[in-house]
Formats: sequence, C-alpha cells, structure tokens
Amino acid sequence: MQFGGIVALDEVSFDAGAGEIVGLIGPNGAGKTTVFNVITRLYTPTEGEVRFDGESLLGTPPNRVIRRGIARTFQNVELFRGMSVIDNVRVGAHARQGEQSADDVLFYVNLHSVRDRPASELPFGTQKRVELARALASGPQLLLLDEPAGGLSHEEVDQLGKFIRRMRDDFELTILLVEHHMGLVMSVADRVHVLDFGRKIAEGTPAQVQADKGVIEAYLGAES
Amino acid sequence: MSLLELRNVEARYGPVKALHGVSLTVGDGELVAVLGANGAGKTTTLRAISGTVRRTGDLVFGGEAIPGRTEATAKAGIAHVPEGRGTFSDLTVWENLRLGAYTRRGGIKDDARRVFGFFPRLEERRHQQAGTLSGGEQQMLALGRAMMARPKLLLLDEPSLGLAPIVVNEIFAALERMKVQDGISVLVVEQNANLVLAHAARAYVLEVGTVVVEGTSDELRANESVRKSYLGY
Repeated sequence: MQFGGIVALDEVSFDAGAGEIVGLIGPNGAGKTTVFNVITRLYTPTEGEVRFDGESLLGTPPNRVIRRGIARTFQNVELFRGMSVIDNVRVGAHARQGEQSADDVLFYVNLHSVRDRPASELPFGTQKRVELARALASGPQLLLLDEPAGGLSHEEVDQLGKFIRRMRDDFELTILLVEHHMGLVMSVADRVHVLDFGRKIAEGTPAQVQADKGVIEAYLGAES
Repeated sequence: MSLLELRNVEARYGPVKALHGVSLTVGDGELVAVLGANGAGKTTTLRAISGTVRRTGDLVFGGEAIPGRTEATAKAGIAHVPEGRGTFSDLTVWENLRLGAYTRRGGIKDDARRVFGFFPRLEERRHQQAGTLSGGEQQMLALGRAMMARPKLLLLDEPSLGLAPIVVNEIFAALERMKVQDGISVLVVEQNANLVLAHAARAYVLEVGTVVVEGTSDELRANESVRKSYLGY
C-alpha cells in the first residue's frame, strides 16, 4: 500500500482464524490503521490480495463491505455527531438488517441510559462504546476495533477486556484489535502481529511478542 | 501562590451538569494529574479552564481573574491540547506548528527545533498535510503546537492516547524537562495512572463531576480505592 512516495504497507501478510482475537500492535505510523482501511476497502492496495471467508474483498466497494459481514470502530471516533445514540446504532442495524434490534444492542453494551442523548455530548470512552454498538448492530462476523481502550481508566479497561471476550463468544465473532494498551492486548488476544514501518516484524502469542527483543526496542521501550 | 486556582467551578452540557463545583490548584512549575473514570468530568475540567465550555465559579490565573473566553485564555499563557487533537488537517505540519506561536511575540526557530528534537517524525513530515499523518503522529503534532506557544500552563487531555508505549515514556520525559528547564506548569488528564503519578507532584481524583480525593502522588498510591480503580494492584 503506497501513498504518493510513501510505502505504508510493505508486503504484509497475516491471517485471522474464525473466532480468534488477533492483536495488531506497533509504533506510531507503522501502518496499523492502514491495515484496517485496506480491509474495509477505504484504500485499494497497490499490490496483494485480501480474502475474507475464502473470497476476495477487493471487488467489494467500501459501502458493501458491511454486507459481507465486516464492521469496525475508529481510533478517533467517527459517529454521526448530531444524531442520538439510538439513531447511530440504528444506522448500523439498517446497514445489514441484523437480527437484533438497535435497542437490544444498546442493552447489551449497557448504554440504554443514554439512549436518546446526542452522541457528540457523551464522554470519549462512552462514544467509543456507541461505535461498538453501531458495529455490533450490523451483525458482523469480523469486527475491527481501533484502540477501544481510549479514554478509559484502569478498572474500565479490565472490564472492557472481559467484555471483548464475552462479545466474541456471544456473537461468534472474529476480532482484529489495534491497541496500545498492552495490558488489554495481552489479556484478550490469542495471537499478536507486530508491524513496524509497514512491515511485519514479529508474530506470536502475547507472551512471545512481549519478550521479543525487536519489539521491545521498536515499540515497548526498555521499561515495559 | 498558585499559578492556577479553580474555586467551585461548574459546567454543563445542555441539561446535563458535568461539573458540580470543582476546586483545584496548580503551582508554578508543578505537574498535577487528574484521574477519574470515563465521564467523571476530567475533560470538562480542562475545557472549563480554557473557556471551551461555559463555566461558573472563579478561575484565577497568575493572580488575575481570567474571563472564560478562549482567546483570553490563550493570551494569558494557557495552551490546551484537547482530546481528539484538533490539528488543522488541511494545513501542513509546519503550518500547524507556526499557528501554535500565533498569539505570542518572538521567533519560532528555536521552539521548532525543540519540538523536532522531541518528535523527529514531525520534522520528516513537516511538509505533509496534518490530515494524512497517522493518529499517533497527529497527537505528537498537537503537543508540539502547544509547545510552540511557550505556555505558562499546559493542559493535556490524555496525551498517551494513540501513542506507542515507547513514545508515551518519551513524552513524559519531555514534560519533565520542560517543567524543570522552562518552569512550565502542567495539568494532565491521563488514563495511564501509574505513569502519570510517577511524574506528577500531586493529583486529584474526580467522580461524577466533583473532586473526591486529592493529595500527593505518594498519598494517592497508598490509597486503597485509588489503587484498585486506577493503578490495578
């Protein structure tokens, strides 16, 4: 994947098995969000192939990706700001006529108390949860989470970790997780891929990559 | 005397009251942390200080009452790095940095050199549009832009958001240097409580829009409920 002269992703290959939670970590500008943008078809890779459920995604336009069963959240929150929480989630439900109503999903993520509030008025961490509800409402098979722990305290991150695993089990999801909060990645991911300068520099279980010298140098720092 | 003092500050969003009388102080050259759960009022506290949300109650900065308008705040020497960064995405990295110095007199070369020293990535990308930077690089730019203002007080809303652990450590080391070398005061909201308490002299814990615990970092680390909720041990 290139932008002008900048190679954002350089022959990156990885896979996620059904029901797996796969972590994607790496330094800033390593290409993590670009991977999400390639999968959701916002970007078309200059080379390579993306397959989902055995079939190429590259022929699917961005607005049809959700119908293939892929939903995402965004690092810096991309909600419909003027709309209420429930209307935001309805957009997700509408996109794929999921089996669950938007209200069911709100109950599931424990947001019913703010159902009719404008989404833009809510605290950052809550807005991230609204995005998650919107994605879930589309009934995805694959869920891409871009820094879900943003704006949460330690205790809340712990709860989020348990919630991600429960969600995976309840909805039979495959989850790709970009996150800098190592406590969260290490507690929920089955496998972790590490990117640096658009290349994959390591992969393995959370414990394996945490002990990897290259990963410590490029990403974690000596103290971690 | 404190550089900043808030007395009974309240703020609301429409019908919802977000701050129920927050009082806090930041001393000269002091780094003070604000902890709290999602929705506790941390971001609103910073917004009330910079005037980006309407407030009632008293705010005294450098011995003077500052009106709750953003331009008055900026001119008085308060720089706010908001949640979500707020960089100008159509402008280049360099233009964003120059804008940071807009409200003050004096040159910008040395300041820019210092910013690039902290964040070499910004120098590599100085002619690139801010909107094309990665999320973490935009966070670096927002911090750099605030540093260009040579503020007396820096308000930071989750500086670690979106940044690799190694960069987060560098940022706190940089804040420490700015504090010592330039006497800058910092009020920082941060989810990584272990890290921020290692650098802060004092901290406030907010719950539902009020201060429920305050003390030195050591006192907070010894507080059992703080440990459980924010430090994780």
